[in-house]
Amino acid sequence: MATVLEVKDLCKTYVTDKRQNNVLKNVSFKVDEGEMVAIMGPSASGKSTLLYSVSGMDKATSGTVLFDGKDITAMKKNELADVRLDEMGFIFQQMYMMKNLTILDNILLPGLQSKKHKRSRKEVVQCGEDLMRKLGIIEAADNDINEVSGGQLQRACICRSLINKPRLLFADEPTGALNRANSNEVMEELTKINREGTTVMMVTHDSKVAAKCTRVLYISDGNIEGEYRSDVTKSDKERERALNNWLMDLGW
Amino acid sequence: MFLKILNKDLKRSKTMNVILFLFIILATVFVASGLNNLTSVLNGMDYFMDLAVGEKGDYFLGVNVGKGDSALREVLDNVDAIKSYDMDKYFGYSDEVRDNDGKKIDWNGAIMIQSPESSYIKLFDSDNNEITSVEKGHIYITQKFFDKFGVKTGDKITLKLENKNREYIIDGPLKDAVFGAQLTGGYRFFMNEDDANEYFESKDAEFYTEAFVYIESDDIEKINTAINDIEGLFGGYARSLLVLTRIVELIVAFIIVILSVCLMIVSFVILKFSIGFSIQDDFREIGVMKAIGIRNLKIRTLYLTKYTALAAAGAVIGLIISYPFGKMLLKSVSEGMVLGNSYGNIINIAGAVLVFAVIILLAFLSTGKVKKMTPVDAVRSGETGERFNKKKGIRISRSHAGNTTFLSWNDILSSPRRYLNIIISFGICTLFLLVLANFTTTLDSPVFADQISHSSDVYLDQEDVTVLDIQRIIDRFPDELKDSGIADKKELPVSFFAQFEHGKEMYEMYLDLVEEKLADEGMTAKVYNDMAFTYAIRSNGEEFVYTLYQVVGDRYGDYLITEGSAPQNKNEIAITPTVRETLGLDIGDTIEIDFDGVYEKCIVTGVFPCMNNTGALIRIHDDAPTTLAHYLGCMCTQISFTDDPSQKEIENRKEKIKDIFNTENVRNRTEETVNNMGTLDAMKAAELLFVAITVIVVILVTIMMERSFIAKETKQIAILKATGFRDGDVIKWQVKRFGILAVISVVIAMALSIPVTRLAGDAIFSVMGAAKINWLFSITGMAKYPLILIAVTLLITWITALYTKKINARDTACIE
Repeated sequence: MATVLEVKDLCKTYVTDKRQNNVLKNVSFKVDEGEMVAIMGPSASGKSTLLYSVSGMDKATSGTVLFDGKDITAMKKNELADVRLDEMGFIFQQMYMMKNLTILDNILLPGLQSKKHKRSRKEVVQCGEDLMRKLGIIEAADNDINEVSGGQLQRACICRSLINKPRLLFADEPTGALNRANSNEVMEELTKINREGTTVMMVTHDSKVAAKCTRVLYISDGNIEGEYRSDVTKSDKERERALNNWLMDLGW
Repeated sequence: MFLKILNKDLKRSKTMNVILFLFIILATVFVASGLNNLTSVLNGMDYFMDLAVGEKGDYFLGVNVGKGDSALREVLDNVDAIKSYDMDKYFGYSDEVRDNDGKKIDWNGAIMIQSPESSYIKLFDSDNNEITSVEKGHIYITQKFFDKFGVKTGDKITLKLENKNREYIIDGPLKDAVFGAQLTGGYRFFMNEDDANEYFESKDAEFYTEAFVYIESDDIEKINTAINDIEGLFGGYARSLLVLTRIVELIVAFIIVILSVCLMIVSFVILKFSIGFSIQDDFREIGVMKAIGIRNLKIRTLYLTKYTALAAAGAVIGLIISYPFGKMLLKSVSEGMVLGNSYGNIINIAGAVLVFAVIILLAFLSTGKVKKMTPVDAVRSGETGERFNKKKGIRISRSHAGNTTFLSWNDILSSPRRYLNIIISFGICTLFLLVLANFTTTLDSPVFADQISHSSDVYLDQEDVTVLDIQRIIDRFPDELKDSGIADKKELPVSFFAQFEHGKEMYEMYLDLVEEKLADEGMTAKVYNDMAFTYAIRSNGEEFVYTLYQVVGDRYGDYLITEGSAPQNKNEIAITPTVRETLGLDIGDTIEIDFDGVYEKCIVTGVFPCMNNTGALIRIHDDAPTTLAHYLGCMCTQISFTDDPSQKEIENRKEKIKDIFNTENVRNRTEETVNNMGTLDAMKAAELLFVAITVIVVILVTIMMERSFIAKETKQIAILKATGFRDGDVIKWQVKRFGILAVISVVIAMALSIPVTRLAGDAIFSVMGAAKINWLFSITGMAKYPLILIAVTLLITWITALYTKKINARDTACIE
């Protein structure tokens, strides 16, 4: 399978009050097309920093990040913005949306901004409505963002992230702010999206969520300490148990 | 702990706090200087008049006294209504004046020569100090002479007395409460006593020595009827009339006051916004404080402490700046007037205290929101999830606009109240500028020509009479003109003819000669002069000395009449609205005019607007039996072409007339109007000053608002960037939003500017006697300032919005 993302010797250092904090230390890994990768690790291990660095939202201190063979660390701001718009999707722990727009308009905004698919306005609207219908929130299309539940809002964020049919979907604790029921629904959707061909890379604390992924990278103190491949033939419960055992071995 | 929180807040919200602080300073400057200027202007003329003439400022008389004033004093001493009086004698200079380069100054009006030692009136230098002495060979001259003829302090000026030149060094401009107004035609030449005495002792002194009497009285009506017996009387003026002559300066002053009021409103609107905004911005902190158990009152006290500290510091700085700023605003007016008030610094301090109090009040009201905030706000980023009204924004799915345009419009339509502050601020500034521009456009046109005199195409002044066949006048009046030296004169002003019994006939003949000369040169025209006379009139049983206007020369036809009809017979008159009000006359009423002992009954047939003599005049028919013995003043030789030439042709003829009569003083209707109104330069200067101030206000408002919006929208900007919006797209969104607001503001202002100009302009100029003013609204004038303000807004928003580049997609992870 083709490699979508290749990270080589990635370092990220923050300087705070003249103190150097090496958050990522020579991190290297690959993500293949169609994979669903979870990044796990203790708090302040560098999980989110890794996600933001490999997605180009944050600038790496050194190392390379090849997205579809192109080094995004060498890209200019506008090129990076175009890559994020056309090739990547993002889901955040907090359901950030534009305040003055309806749910549907929030979803359509990046779709109308992108020129990649050369779609007409009508086609983009159709695509947005289809996604909402698929994720079961079409009835909230004309609602304001604070007229819907957290679960609906996060699904709306997923719709927004998918509007431009990205090759790689990044998710930072996508279920972190949701209750168990909403969390399950969102993970179901993400798994479905992955099955339909979209590569997914997510940061999570939740082994139940991570167990749905095909691969788990465990990061600690800025280094990838281990990699776990899930046996997709097993049931969810078995995969979760196996993952928990592996995590315990790593000191989780 | 409070101090720690306060300290942290000042550092954390540095930008907002700095902007708020700047606006407090700005508001204090505007309010303190505005209040002071308001008081100074409202009290302006009374203050100046009191300084200049003390208690003897209720009524004024102008009398030709020759060498002795005993007859005048005898009459004045016997008028019961006069409590006390004093008088100045001056020499009415009428010969040539040359400037520093020896060039002849084409002045008209009256030059009054006198010295400080023999003056009752106090005259002031440019620093508002009374001029108590003038060095020999030096001179002070009325400020407006500087403005009109370009003379400067230190220049040499040359007068002629008995064919000998007298040179003086100009020590500076003087401020004259009685004759300093732009609307009056007098210039005071204040010189050393010995220098002045040369004029008073000359052979012409008997003819040219005049007195100006300052009277203290409680009953000026009685004085008015009692002064008819005074020989040589050429004018009686109530204090209110002299105050009105300052209307031009006061218009500019009132414009400054209105500007100050506008700036005050803008300041308070912005302050209200910024205080409310910054408190709203702190919902998280307030929520946390509530969560840990701090009471509402203590939280409010914390914010009030912060605003008190900011307001106190800002008010003190603003107060200090308000003094030079206020002086700068009033500079254009105070050049010719001693403006001030007896309250001194107290008004500025009161202004600063007012701003301080308003800030505390606004802060107190805004901190009322603290009660509504709950600990949940800290958790839910200030959003409780409750919404009772659906937003009124538009839908992108139904819009055809680009994303950034859509976002801009949607923001404004979703939260119109949030943007109302900007629309009000920009709208007020633009409206004010547009009204001012409309004033300037109209004043820079012939619109007021009919309000000043019976208008004509060309105005000819100080013409060279050697090109005319003056011998014909001599042949007709040989006895009277025998020793007059008329044949040697290069110019023949009306005052020359006024010394002869048949002066009016001579002058009419002179105007015929000018008309013939023009006809010889291929320009058929009617030549006349709209002249003022003083006659005693009897109305409702009371007698007054009044100014009458009459067209002398080739009769021209109807005048501008707003009601009724123009006088058609010699016993018909037209009156101004001022006369209608002061004398209680109306169309159909009759008055009696004393034409040298013969009382003619005259019926009022019409009402006409006139700004001369602030409207206190009556127009009599062309055939009414006036004589130049009652001559008071005139326009100049007026020419109305009878072949209806185009404007271009009039300009050509104007140049031709300059050559024929060897004078540069040939003006078209616009030039004459501008020259007579005397306010255009001051208005233009005020306009420029206001453009500068408005631009500064717009810049500050834009920076503050935009910076506030960026601070508030950091989360949304970050999310846009995370989803692939470029920096440029975010900046476009921000700039377009301000652009739309600026356009909305200026469109509203432009729409309002026309009725507001008419309303304000008609009200202001009607005080001077004008009516039915056809205000000019030039597209250039109307579009210029809106375009400048929009361009400035866009530029400043763009520069401020560059800050959004610092907000990264990564900031989605660290948004509070």
